[in-house]
Amino acid sequence: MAQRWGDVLDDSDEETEVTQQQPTTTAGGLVIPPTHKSRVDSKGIQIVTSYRQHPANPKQLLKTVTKIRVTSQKVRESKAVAIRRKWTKFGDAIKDENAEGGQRATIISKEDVFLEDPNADTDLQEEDATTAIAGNLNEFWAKQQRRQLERKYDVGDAEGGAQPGWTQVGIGGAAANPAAGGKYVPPSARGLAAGVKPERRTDDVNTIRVTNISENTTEADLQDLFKPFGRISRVYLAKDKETLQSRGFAFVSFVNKQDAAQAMEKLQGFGYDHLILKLEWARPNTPKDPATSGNEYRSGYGKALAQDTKTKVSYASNLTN
Amino acid sequence: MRPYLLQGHERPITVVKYNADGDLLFTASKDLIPSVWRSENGERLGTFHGHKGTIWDLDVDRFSNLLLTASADATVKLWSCQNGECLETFTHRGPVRGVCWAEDNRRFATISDPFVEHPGKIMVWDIEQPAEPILEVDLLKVDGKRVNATNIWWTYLNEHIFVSMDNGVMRLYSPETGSLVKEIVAHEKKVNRVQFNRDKTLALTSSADFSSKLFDAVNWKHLYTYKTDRPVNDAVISETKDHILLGGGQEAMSVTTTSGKVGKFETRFFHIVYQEEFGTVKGHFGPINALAINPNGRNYASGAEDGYVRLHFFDKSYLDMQDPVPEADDDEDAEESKEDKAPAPVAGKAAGKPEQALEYDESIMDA
Repeated sequence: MAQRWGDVLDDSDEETEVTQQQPTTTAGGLVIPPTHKSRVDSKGIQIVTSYRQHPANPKQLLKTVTKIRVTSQKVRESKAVAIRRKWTKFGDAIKDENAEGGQRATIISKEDVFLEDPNADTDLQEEDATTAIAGNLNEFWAKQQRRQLERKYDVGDAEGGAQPGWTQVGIGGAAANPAAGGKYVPPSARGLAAGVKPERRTDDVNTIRVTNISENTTEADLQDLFKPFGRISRVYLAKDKETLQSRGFAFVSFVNKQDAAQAMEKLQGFGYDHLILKLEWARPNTPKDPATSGNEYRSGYGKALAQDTKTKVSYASNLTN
Repeated sequence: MRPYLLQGHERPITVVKYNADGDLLFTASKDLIPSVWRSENGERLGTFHGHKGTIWDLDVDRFSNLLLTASADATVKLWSCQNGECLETFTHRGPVRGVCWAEDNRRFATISDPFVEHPGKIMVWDIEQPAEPILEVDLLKVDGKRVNATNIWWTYLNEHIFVSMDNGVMRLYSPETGSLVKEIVAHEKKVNRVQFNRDKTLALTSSADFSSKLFDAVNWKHLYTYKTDRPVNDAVISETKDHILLGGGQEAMSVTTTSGKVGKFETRFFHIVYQEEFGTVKGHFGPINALAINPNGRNYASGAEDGYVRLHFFDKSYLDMQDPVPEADDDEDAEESKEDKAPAPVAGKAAGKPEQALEYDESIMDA
């Protein structure tokens, strides 16, 4: 069929273009005609017809018709360029001719680079529906800061009552709803905690705990790093409460488990800045004794890096939800 | 695009330059051996052996026969481009920062740093009389402070010798008498390099004060400013598009304390008139020291502190890209002046963006 189409396009005698190749005969007595290449027609289409033996049925002949669009570009250049093209190599360049692999002076980058839009990152974020799911992280951080200030000056929200901020929230929240298992429950959602819970569970499953991050890394950097693997619902970088310095670990939640798994596989041991990243699945929240958890949080989170970070970490991840 | 990595140099790249036809690319670095490459396939054509110091600058003549290299070993050497033979050595008193052929292809100007008791000097040489320079101008101290020149050029038709200084000033000297003709205060900090367009009507400065400025190279009127957030080491004007390319990044001395991500070692693409950054190309892991764009506009080279020269061939999408034209209030006006440009630039831009993002995603997945 393609052949016929070719004929329509170009009526010139294609036979002149037939390559001087003899038909080959297989053991089964099947004659395989030589590959035929048509002339490039006025629209720049060339038809290559090749034949081979059917892999399953040796008696059958398989015909492959490939249409190729041939484009040629005429470039004008000065005659001097043509002369210079004949120049022979000199100096160290002579060695290049026999060089192999890494020894070669010119290598083609394995990495494909693009002309990137410098404003693209912000644009993408705006369009990203997933950001809406987890809420804006910066907003979250701002909220935390505000709470901190509130605690400090004892203004608190209306529910705060007599007890100061964090402890009150930790214990109060857990006490109000023991099923939450020590999770931080925002005051507004305290009565509804049971309904919100399943959603959180799925989020936890897709969360990667990233450790050994250099302290210059920002949440935006992490976002950039993990973005290629899939939709991210949340990035949380643990920061010191007072200095706001990164504490060297972070949580990245993906919308899809597969994406998370892929990221895990690809970035495990990835050299980022001067450090080697370590990735592990965030530990699911083990229900804690509600009475102690509030206190533990109070004492541990913040400066005390010497303590078991993992426990603190699970708290940190709770907080972000 | 997949750039070619030209890894012939072992030290930071100082200068990359295309010849007039754009088929050869000359590179020099702080190692002592300038190289020449074929720009069409990145193949190394040859190396030039003989200098004993850092090569700060080079210039190739109009016909790509003779190459001049300026070195910190206080010499300028004249080479044959075809076989790498050193034809002549011009001895100076201090490290030579810049060298530039005059348009007559016979004279050239050099600028040397002050050295011991010798002040910085502008010299004009004739290749027919290699023994003595035909003109020598001392760079005097300004307010008791030594100022160093960063590079030297000839303006259109050898009218003036143009020198950029490390205090942000640019000067024009007369090539006949050596007298100071004009002084232009362009930047607050060091002017790293100035590049002209082909017919030398525009000059683009790059400065350590985080900006790059476009000047009219005839009356030296300031036209546009391109602002970035890092020192600009080099900037070039595209011959085929209304674009300029800026290269720079963190100062070399603070690179080891910052990550590649925040170092901003990208090549930035600005629109020449709108002064708007519309693209970046990443890849280097050190500040870009030198940029050059092929006169045919199809490829560009960047050389960085990391010792690599990257030769980029533009994608078809870039070459076909049409610059956005702001929607004019008056339709007639727009048709008259911008006939050759895209009628609906906004649509074109919107269509191009998601495609790029998609490709980016895929490439990471493969890696």
